[in-house]
Amino acid sequence: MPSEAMWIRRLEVTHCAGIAAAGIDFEPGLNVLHGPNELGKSSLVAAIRAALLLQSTSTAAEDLFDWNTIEPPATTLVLEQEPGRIWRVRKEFGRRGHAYLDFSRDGQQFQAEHRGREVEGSLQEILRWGIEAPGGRGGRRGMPSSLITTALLGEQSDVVGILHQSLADDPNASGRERLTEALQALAEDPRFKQVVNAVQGKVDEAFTATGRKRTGRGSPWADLRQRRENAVARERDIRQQVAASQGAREQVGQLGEQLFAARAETERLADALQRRRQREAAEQARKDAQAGFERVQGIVAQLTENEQAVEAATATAAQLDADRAQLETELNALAPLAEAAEARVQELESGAEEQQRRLREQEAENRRLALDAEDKAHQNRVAEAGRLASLASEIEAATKTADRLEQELAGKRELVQRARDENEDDTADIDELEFKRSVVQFLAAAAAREVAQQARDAARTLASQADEQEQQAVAAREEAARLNAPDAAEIERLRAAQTTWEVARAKVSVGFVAEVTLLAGDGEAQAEVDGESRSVPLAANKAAAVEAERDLTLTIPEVATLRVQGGGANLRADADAAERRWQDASSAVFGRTGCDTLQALVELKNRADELLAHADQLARDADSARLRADGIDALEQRVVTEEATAQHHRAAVEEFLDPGESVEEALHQLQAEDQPLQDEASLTGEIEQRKESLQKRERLCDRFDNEINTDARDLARQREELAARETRFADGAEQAGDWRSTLQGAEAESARIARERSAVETELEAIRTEATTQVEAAREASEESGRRLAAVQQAFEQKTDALAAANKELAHLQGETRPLRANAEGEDLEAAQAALEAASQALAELPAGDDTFDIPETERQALRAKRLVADLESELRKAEGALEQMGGQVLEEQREQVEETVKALDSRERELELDYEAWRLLRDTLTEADEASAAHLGSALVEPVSRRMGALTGGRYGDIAIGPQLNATGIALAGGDRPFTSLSIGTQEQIALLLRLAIAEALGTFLILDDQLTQSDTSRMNAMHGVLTEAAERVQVVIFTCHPDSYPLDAANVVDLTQHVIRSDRAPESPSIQPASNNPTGFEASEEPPHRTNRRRRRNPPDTNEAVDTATALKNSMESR
Amino acid sequence: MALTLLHTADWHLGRRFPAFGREQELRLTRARLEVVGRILDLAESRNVDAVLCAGDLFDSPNPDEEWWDGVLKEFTRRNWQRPVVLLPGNHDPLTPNSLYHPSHRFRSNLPDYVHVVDAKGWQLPLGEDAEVVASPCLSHAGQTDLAASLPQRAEDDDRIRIGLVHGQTFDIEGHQTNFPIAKGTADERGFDYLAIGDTHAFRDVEPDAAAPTVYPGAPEATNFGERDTGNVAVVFFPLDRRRRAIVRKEAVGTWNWREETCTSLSALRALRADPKLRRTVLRLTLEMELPMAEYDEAERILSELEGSMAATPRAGVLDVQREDLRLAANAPIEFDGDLPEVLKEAAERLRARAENEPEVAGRALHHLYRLIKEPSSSDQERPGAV
Repeated sequence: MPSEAMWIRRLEVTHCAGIAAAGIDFEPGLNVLHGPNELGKSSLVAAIRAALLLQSTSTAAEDLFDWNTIEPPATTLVLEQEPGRIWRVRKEFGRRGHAYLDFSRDGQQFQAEHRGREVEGSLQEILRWGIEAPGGRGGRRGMPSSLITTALLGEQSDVVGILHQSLADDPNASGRERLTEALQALAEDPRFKQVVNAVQGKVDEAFTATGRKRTGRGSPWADLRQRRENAVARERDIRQQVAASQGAREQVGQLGEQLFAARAETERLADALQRRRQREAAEQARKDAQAGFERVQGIVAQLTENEQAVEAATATAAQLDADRAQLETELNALAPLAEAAEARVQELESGAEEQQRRLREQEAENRRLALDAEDKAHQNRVAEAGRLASLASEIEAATKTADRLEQELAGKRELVQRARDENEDDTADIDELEFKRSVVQFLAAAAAREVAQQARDAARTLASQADEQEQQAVAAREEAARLNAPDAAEIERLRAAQTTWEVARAKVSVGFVAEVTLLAGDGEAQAEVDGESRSVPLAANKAAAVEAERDLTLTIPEVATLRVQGGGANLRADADAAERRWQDASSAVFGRTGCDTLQALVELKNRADELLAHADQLARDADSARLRADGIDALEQRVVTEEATAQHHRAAVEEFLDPGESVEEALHQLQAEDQPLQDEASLTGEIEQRKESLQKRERLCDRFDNEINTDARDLARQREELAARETRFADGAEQAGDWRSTLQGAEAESARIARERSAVETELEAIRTEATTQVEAAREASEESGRRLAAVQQAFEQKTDALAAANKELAHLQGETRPLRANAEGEDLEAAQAALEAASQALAELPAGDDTFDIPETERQALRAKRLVADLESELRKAEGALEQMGGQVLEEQREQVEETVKALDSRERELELDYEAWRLLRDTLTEADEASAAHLGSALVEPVSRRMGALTGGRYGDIAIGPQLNATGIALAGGDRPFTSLSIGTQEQIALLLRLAIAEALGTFLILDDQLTQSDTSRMNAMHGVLTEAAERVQVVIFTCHPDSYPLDAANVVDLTQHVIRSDRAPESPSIQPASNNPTGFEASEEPPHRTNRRRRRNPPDTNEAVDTATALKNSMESR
Repeated sequence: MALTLLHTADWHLGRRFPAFGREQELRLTRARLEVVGRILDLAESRNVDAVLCAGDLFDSPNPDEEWWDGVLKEFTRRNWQRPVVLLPGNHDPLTPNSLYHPSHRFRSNLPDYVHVVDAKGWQLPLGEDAEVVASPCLSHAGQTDLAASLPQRAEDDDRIRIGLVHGQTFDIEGHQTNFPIAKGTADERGFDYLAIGDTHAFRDVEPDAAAPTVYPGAPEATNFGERDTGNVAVVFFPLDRRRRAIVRKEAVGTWNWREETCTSLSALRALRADPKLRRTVLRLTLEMELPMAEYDEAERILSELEGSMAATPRAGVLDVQREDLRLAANAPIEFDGDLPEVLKEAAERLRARAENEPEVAGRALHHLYRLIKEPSSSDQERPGAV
């Protein structure tokens, strides 16, 4: 039996419908439980049914109560769902909550899983019979009735009930769905099944069984959704920040506008104040002009008054001047007299000698003075000559110094020029060397680039080779997978099945000849000879022989069909069974692979193995190539780097080239030169050496340049000073004449002058010693004339004084008049009047303003406006600072990025949804197509039921007609369909059994038969043995019967129920339940065990103690729990 | 040459790519770290005097440890003397919680040769003949012209002066300008070179100016549509100071972001054969209607591009837009002759349905086709699908 088929392992019952206690172990496969009537077989079936389907509190359990006791009925059923998943359901009926479901992996140690109402739901999930759990609002009550329960647990009283039942009678569609699922699985094409499984796998990745998107780990949505939620949250945050930033920007804008308005108000107030002040200033200017005009008017009036006073004083002075002129005339007349008297005195006093003496004295004095002057002039000339001599000496010295400096300067300049020339040469050399070095570097870089490119190309080739080999490996594996070749174990299984079939077929290959002779006329018969068709010509009275090994069917149209088979019935059945097993085993493989023989399968497998080996070799080669190509990225980068380096050095070379000259030409030219290129290090060394020399010279030149500049400045200054001296010397020389002669004769001349001066002084002393007399008389006359002259003189002086006073007054007046006139000249009355008019005009021209406002108040307003401007500027700075911190453009960039992210994730999510929706649509479409392509569920059962029925009846009956709702309606017989009711009860029982078997096989679950075949004859029963045995290979079949001999006990677990069941209406000391120690087999010593088979190991040998104590033990067990 | 610099910016380490699958995202984020190593290798091979990193080296001021730890390892494994200057940009501004803060383990574990610009007007002499002057971003956004705030060249200063800031030199209407950099700043402030970062494309902003102002661009692209990425700038300052600094673009990126639309199966086949796909982020849009056999081939090519548990993906990162890949449902479908009737019936039902519901029914029909052709194909996963 397949391991995945569910089977009953054990049943325990107490106080149930006349059974005090029972404990039965079952086996997989066929189980025959036999016992006499009234032992309680149907009660056990009812107990199984109740254990599986009935709530412990259901009133439908009343039928289970035992009239002989007040104890409630209890059942314990152990099921093996699949290896390692064993369930134990325990129920005590009539008591709420007394239902338990326990789980075990080994069938020994159970642990509680569910209890109470949960048990039913879990149990139905385990059974998978499409029965909804009982209880709940609107839920089922009592024993459920459906086609499946009828098929699997049908009651003895209605063995053919299955033939009259339909899925349409089920209370809901769940049973139909379950059967649909099971039967479709049976009917499905392997290729279709493969596709469906793959599609369902994809659908299950993304959706739960209820069609909702999966949300847990591993769900394709989970990661994407989480990332999208994160991105949306981030987008929300950034939007808020952008909004805040926008707010700050708007605040900056608002503050800017407020600041603009405040500044405008400040300017307006300042303007008003300024206008007001302008008007006031103009008014003041007009007033000032008025005052000026009036002042000038006053000056002009005072000037006029003074000029009049001057005229009067002038007249007075003129009178006094006339009087004085008269006195002066008189005085002039007296003066010669006085002078004559004086002259007489003087004449007397001087005389001729005196005069001669005075002349001599005067002459001598004059000579002495002349000598003094000459001496002084001589001294001056000598001093000037000495100065000129000194100057000439200085000029000579300065000229020499300047000449020397000039020579030195020229020397330094020459030195610098020479150094510069050398530097130019060196610079040219350095350029040449750098050019060569760039060339060397370029050539080295180009070579390195070449090497890198070669390495990269080699790696690329290897990588490409690896890609190709990988693709070839994948293609080889895909081709191998497409072959769907069976594995070695499968081949071996098939080989064993084929061998078994061939052996079985060989047993029936007895060989025989059939001869057919027509009584009249000719014809042709169709023969099926050992599975091969051919025609057999027939002729009248002439035997046509047809030879076969094991099976011959000869059909003479419209006459007869003859079938001859070799071997006995058992051998044929064995051969058929072996063939079926072979076909069952091979059809799926052949269908999958397209092969039709085992040899073809072997070749296919060899081909697949070769492909896989080839793929492995390719993969190894690819790995090897990949390993050798490892680092291709680094090589690619190295090529890029080397290329960039080469380009860099090429560009460096180009720097040195003339316009239009190419690098290649330069290289060619270099190569054409005789001298080979030095290496880079040598060139660099030489360049550095030259540069060092160049820098040294540059420093030297700089130092000499500084010195030259200093010297040149000194020289220029000295030349200037020399020129000034020369000018002074030339001027002095021009004035001094022959100053050298003066200087040379200076001493002799000084001596001469000294001698002459001494002589003159001696002469002068002699003259002054002479004296004269006789002047006294003349002096008195002179005095008289003098006195008269003095009187006139006094009068004259008085008049003169008066005139002077008058003139003084006049001068005073004129003095007063001058500043007045000057003032008046400085003042322009017309101008003042014009200024006054202009000021009045300017005042009149000023725009009319509000001269009524309060200036101090307006000034306060202006001050407040200024403060507001300052405050707003401060606020604006703060707002701008806030804006700076918030991010501005950075935030905008982040917003754009996150929006793009959300958009991309939305797109991906949509893509994913479309993809998985496509998988779901494909799944649904496949299901629809499958449902539509299958005519109905019944068609899946027609073949197994009909096949078995054919085997049972020797092909008497055709196909069983089973409708879409599994409603068996009839059977094909003698070319027509017959309703079941037209068949015998026995045949109906057999068909019903076959149908139930087919359903149990489809569901992969156990089948309980309670005296199913009571009306079948011996031959049918014998035939049924094979059917049951074969079915028991797939599912567990439990037969309760009172006719154990009717069943194939050689292949079954046979249980004598009398050894396992204690009736409640019998005494406990019944001999059939003696302790096991006296009867380890569980049978009466005198009783032969009925066909006890030892072919199967009994996992739980019957325990007589168990049988005796079952009731008590079970009861205690239930109560203790 | 008097001086050689390597100028880079916009590494955006730690940038996530959640729009792609986890594996693909990992590939891209790992690539950002790998390119740092290549940049430093290039600096070594070019023997540059200094490396200037002009901001947005990290995608946020305080990225996860794996990012800054990776950079730290790149720095610490090199025994360098040449200075490396890290400038905070607007993505990774110098804030109290930033990894540039002295208390952060990244900053405190940096080797001596790595310098962080942590003050306005920050200066670093490069020997006696050159200096770097820089100002960091202190916030994510700002309107300050950081370049204009750098100190002017002194009259007696004849050294090579390099400015280093992060900001935008453009002002596009509707685009929020951030840390603007005025034109002519390099000449006006007396710089010989102005190293800037922000824009992901390589660009010499003012090619006619005496001193170059250069965006080196991102060394690895960060999105589709970015052009001229994957480079750094190697800058040479000639001995002759009258000559303009020479700026050379050097490729360091290895990933290519590419958008393709295939309207025929032949185009898709040609795309599949492109050997560069392994390092390509491919956004593939399919616009074609194909009979079943060709539709199946298209699906197979997509599977190859995406890869599976058993096969390496042909495309580095794949984003497929396949809304317009349709099955020509009215075209006949060739099945095996011995196909069970029930499968033929299912195929016919789906084919009829696909005329009205092409997306779901068409795919279902293809699933069936694939299962019939290759029963084991349904077991293959497409890891790139999620």
